[in-house]
Amino acid sequence: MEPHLPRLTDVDEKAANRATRQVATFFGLVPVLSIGFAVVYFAVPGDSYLDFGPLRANTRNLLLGLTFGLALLFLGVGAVHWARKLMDDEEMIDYRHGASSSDADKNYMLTELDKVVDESKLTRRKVIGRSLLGALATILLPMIVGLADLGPWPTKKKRAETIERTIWAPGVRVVNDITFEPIKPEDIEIGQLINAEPANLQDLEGAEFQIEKAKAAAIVVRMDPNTITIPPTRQGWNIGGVLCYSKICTHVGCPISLWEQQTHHLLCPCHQSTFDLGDAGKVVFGPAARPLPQLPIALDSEGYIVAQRDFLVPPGPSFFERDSRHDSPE
Amino acid sequence: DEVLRPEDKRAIIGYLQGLHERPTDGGFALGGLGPVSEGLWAWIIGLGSLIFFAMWIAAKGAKAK
Repeated sequence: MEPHLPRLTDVDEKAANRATRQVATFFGLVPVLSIGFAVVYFAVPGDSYLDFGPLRANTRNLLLGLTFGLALLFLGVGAVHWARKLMDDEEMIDYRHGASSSDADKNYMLTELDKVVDESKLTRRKVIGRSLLGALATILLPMIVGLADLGPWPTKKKRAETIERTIWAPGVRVVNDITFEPIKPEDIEIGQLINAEPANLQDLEGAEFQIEKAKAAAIVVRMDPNTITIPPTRQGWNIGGVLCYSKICTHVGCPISLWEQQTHHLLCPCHQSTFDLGDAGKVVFGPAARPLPQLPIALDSEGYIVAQRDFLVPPGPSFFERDSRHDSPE
Repeated sequence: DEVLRPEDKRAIIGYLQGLHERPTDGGFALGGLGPVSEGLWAWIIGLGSLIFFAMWIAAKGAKAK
């Protein structure tokens, strides 16, 4: 250990007195600030605002914060200053013993353990131990049966009824999201995106409404037909430059809304999956594993946009049981 | 215009402009630019003062000559 060096305040009485005065000053300011806090709390009106330069704050809140904050700060600073300058700072050595227990303790422990096993009579009457094991193993059965019945089992049939279908059907009108107004393609400008729903969503309520909306939500976009590529298998799914895609990202299921008009990219805010809607919804960036599903649309007799049928692939996040490698149109 | 009618758009704009003009009670807003600028000040002022206090507490101090 290096030799102990006395501090200035240890030898110089004037320095020690000065340090004492400083500590007392810090501590002495605390009651001033605390009472100031109380005064500000009652005396300063709550709707006056300080407004100069970059500062634009409620006067009362600012003063309350300053008084209480500085009071706490000076309390701490005073204590630290006292410890650094005036409290005894002699170094001392504290010896530590080894980490493991003594041999006597270890032996005592082992003999006690042996005694415990003997006293429980498990070794002599083995049937107790065996029947106990059987009992403990089977007591879990009620819990397993109870938990297994909490919801539907994810069989292929269940999937086909739930996540692999939506309420879109032939002839269902594509309508605006909240207002349920039908859409005419002439009213859509190039570069516009409309949040859409199936018209038959209005017939549902409550939980069923939310569940079906979460799968069936779609968007209608209009692009310049000369700037997009429509694969041969999807000819006729569009009306000129007006296309309809699912709104639900194929990554984790966030509803996508960031539509980049010039690039025809649809950007999901959650994990930044980007789909090129001018190229069959292909994934051009991000963690999505399969393209955005496209809804085939047509015009009905009154000129409003309708769906030709349900989505050909399930919308929403990809899931293990379905091989989506062949989703892209070739 | 069929999705959001002009009067809806005007109502939204009016609300936002009213919001901007109201004084906030939140104190010093640091420019209101968001988490990146808040991080800048947190690192400079916040961490700077924490480091200052840590160094002050542990410093050796004036020794007797």
